[in-house]
Amino acid sequence: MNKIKQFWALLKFQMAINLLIILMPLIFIMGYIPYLTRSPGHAYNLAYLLSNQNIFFVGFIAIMLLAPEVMRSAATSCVWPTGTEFLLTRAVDRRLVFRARSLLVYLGILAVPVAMFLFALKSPGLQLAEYNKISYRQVVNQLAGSIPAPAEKDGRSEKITIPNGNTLVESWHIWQFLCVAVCTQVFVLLIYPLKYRRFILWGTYLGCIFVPLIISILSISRILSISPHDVSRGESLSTNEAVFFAFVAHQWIFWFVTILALLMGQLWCKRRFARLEQ
Amino acid sequence: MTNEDPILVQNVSRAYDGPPVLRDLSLSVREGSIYGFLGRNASGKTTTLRMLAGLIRPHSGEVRIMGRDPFTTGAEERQWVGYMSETGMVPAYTKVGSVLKLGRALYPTWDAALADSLVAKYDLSPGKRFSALSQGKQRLLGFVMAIVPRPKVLLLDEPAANLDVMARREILDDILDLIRDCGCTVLFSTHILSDIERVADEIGILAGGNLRVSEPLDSLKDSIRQVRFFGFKDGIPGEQVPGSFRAIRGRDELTVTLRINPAFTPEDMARRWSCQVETRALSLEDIFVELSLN
Repeated sequence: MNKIKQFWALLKFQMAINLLIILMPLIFIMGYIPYLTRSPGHAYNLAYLLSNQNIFFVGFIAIMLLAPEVMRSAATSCVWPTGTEFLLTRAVDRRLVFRARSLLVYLGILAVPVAMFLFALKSPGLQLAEYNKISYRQVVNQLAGSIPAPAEKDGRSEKITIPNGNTLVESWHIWQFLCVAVCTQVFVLLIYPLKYRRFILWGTYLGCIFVPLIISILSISRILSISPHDVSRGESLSTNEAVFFAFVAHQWIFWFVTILALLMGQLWCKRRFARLEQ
Repeated sequence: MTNEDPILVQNVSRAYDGPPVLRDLSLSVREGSIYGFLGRNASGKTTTLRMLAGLIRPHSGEVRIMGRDPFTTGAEERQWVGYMSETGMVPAYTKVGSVLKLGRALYPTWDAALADSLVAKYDLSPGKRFSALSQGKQRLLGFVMAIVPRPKVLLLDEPAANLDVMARREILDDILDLIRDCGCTVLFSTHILSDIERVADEIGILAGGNLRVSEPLDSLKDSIRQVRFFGFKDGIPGEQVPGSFRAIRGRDELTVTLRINPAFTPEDMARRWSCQVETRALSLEDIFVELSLN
């Protein structure tokens, strides 16, 4: 049996039947609308650029396409419309079903950030506003070529120009997406043998969304108790910024480890996913 | 039971998150025969079929389709197994034409002429989405996908559910045609006993996680009887009747469903108990009820 022909048939069929899930990453573009419609010379807040709500969709897409149906719905009713039961009972190699799915996952989640990266190559320069002294210092010290913009009337410069800032931010987004997808796959496999796997999976997923939200709501009172000036000039780095600076400083290591994890994860996951009961 | 039987289940147990659904189940289907698989709801029929289709694994024991573990077989072996599931056959938004196209791409043995004739016969419009088909037509499409590759083993989970009488008869005729053409071995579960009587060579009744009986239909009908013992002189004895499946003790009579043993007939029992006896043949439905209740 021709495996390549089988693979393409499976890929096309799964793309058609999972169209809604495959098209879901298009909403990633919403996060880029302010960026795409910016005016020339607009200065950004680095923490804002690095934050990315879309990573929750990456997790969702990975779960919906790769997790066994018993982890998505009740144990004996495999009715979720991803067609796993139908496909696995046809003349296919189980591994090819998951290989095709895995390709769909990565094509889906990487399409928009890669497109944005290519777009960023056209105008890689980024201007940041100073909103945090530590962040400001880190940018000047760690991002090669970054320089404070020419001083304005009061003689003080509050902007920094980073020559390849846009490409750095977009590669950071691609790295984030890859990390979340790989971690989701590995997490699904790790919890698969557990009795309450379905609840753990969705509990963790919802926890990742809501816990940071609840923490930020709880910290509102603290924020309200300090002046807006203090908030805007806070003296600490966000987690995203801290990891981003480490990412920029050791890009090759980060990419090497991520690609290695991706390849290992793919090999491991495809073999493992193919062995899981649906 | 021989190791050459195309469908073989040996000492299989399987549970979900609770008590076992199957307990030490053993079952085999001879090549070229039609095996009717009966059982009450949640008796484990679908679990058995899902195991044979390679969707789930037994917790103990082994399952073999044409001598291979269905969970690990590749495309080469899978092309010889047709499977029609009870639910979740085809994703809702898939078009009938796309499903058939996938079948054509995956199966070297895909019989395009048979597919066309069945699609026309069952009036399955290729442009329609699966979700737009009636439940009966959805099942017919599942049946087409299972039968058109001309499998050597056909596993059908409630193939006739939601079908009208005509469609049911057509499906049964198509199964018989397939067997005539290529000696296909069929295992099908159903609640419609008239279908079993019409086509099955052998039947198995699943109850309590195990096969209560597994034998040719005629032999089963000939050997299972309901026997009424009455007119006891010394009251109903406490002794159990050999080969009995179920016994109902009345005030002055004992009704027993049993397998007739030529070496020790109900008449022999009646002589021993000094009572009268009346024997009644059972329909398949009666046999099913009697064996499932116990």
